[in-house]
Amino acid sequence: MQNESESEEIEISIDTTPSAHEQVAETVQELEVEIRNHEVASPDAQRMALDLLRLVRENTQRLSGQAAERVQGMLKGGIGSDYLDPDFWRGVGMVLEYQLKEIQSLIQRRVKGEYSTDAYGKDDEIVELVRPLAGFLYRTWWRVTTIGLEHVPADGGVLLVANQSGVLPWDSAMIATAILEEHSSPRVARTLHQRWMSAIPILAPALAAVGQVPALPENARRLLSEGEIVSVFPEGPRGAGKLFRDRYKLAGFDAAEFVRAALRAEVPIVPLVVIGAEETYPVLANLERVARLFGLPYLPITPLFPWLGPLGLIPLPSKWTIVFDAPLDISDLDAAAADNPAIVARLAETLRLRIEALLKRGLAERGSAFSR
Amino acid sequence: MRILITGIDGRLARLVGAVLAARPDTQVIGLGGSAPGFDQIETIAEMPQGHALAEMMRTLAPEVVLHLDQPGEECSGTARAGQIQTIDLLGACGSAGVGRVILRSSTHVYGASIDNPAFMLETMALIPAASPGLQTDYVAIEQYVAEYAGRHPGMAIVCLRCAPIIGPGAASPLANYLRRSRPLTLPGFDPRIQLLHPNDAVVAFALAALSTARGAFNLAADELLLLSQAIRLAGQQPTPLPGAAFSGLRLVKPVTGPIRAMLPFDPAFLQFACVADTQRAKAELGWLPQHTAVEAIRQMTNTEN
Repeated sequence: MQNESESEEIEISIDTTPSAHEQVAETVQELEVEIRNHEVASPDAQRMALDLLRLVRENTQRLSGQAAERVQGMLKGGIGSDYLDPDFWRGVGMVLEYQLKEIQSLIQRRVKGEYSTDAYGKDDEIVELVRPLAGFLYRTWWRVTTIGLEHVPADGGVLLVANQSGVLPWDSAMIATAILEEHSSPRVARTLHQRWMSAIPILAPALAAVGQVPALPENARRLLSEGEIVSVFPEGPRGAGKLFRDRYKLAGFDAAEFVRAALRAEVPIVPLVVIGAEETYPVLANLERVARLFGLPYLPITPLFPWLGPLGLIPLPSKWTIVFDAPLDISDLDAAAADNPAIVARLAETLRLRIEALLKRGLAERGSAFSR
Repeated sequence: MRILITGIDGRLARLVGAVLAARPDTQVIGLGGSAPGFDQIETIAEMPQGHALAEMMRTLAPEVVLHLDQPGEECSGTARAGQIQTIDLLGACGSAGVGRVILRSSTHVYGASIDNPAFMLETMALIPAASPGLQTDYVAIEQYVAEYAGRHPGMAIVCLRCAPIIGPGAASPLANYLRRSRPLTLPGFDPRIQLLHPNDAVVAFALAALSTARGAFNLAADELLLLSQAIRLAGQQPTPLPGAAFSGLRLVKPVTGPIRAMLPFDPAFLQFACVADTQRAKAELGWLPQHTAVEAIRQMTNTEN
């Protein structure tokens, strides 16, 4: 009898001792409450502070118990709740930096080659690794509002066709994040990236690791028939390198190849627009001749790039909206329609008109590009 | 059924011979060497050329010929000589009325380029690379074979396009590359690669010899690896070659000169993927790879160290 009650007590004591992870979550929550109760001097800074803390909390879940204890110590020791104090920001920065380092060492076993990728090179560990950062960009940096996610089916293949914007493919990352974070059945959307990106060192394997695939009709068809979400940007390099004054004007939009792939795989085609990404890198000039010298399709000059070097690659925090539209009506078509150029051309043109209309409406509805 | 196998000196050829000879109704003759330990295979030491080969083929009158004497892999000899040998062999088979010829090719025929789709199909057009090498030789042979097959519809010709064979004793360029102490890589690139376990290759050749299928078939293990991952699984460290990808002003430039000489194969294969779809072999030959890519590398490093 005595023994039994003792063992029970031990069990209870194990249950009630919070793990290091829980402690961090608790501490972060306390800090969050305190920051919320602060007099609002600058709502922007307050929101940013809260979101950074959230990033700290999400990252902690991936750490070992020991590392989580370290983070707990850092939070308790150095970070006050006064987010107006520069020390707060420095402290949060230090924690995030430490967490990044810890995550790196977590994947040290990868050095032995002990990991696996899917047939296209997607690495789920890497996807999970960048997910908190993508979530931060989605919620805090660009404050993305997503409309019409119900048009993306819960399972099976679907072709998402979007306008291209921004010099770097942040738009595709945010479309994928929207589906991953906000859809009722989250999946990793496969973006078809421009082919020339495969020739850029570091970028090429990084894109593959997060599930992106070069934009070839064969790849689109295969992914769609395998039941994946495939997002494409039919404007190609001309769309990505367009000037600020040409923003939200479709450049060389040709979706025929992708429409054909979708018809052959018998999957729905959903038009969508991303509004706000054109302001992330306002391209003032495009030095195509210089670009050719480097073997690139375009070399944009923005207010920050190349003047600030790599810092110039930080996208401006414009306010984004992503609108998914109803799928094209292809209920009366079968796979054979893919071989009918007239049908394919008509659908591609319908897509272009739908996307242009969505852009027009979306731009009219939004106020300033950098509003909250 | 009488089956003739060339390049019987090679490991693959001997194992294929042993598998086929185990059947009650087959007689296996190996050409161009001996096969100690494989008593069920009759061997002829020489590999005759030209006219003599045709003569021998008529005397032996095999129903199936497996040409496994492939340059650049297990057998010695230059690729150019291999090309002439294939032409010779097809001619000899034609004059002897051989009904079925199985040739060994490589998934290298597709080349590694930025324009490659994620998976290559057998129906894709083969494009020789700009610079001559193993790839252009393979393509030249296959183009000749396709042309010959078109002119001789009575002969069923099969080309088995094998991914690099990795396993104990394998001598594919990729196997040799993974055995180096510090394999060189191109900085900033990490293509997906495919490989093939030798046992799975043996089964595929035996199935091809006994089936009625014709045309090209891709063979590879189901699982894909990243190049750096394969190197690490082999217990080595990938060693990026500084300056290989960034030369001069251009971000990306074809690798030439002394750097190229340091690499065991076309550097394009260190930069871009060359991955083949194996659905056709599975559907038409009934072939199913039994070994994963990871297993193949583990076996190679464990038995050799």
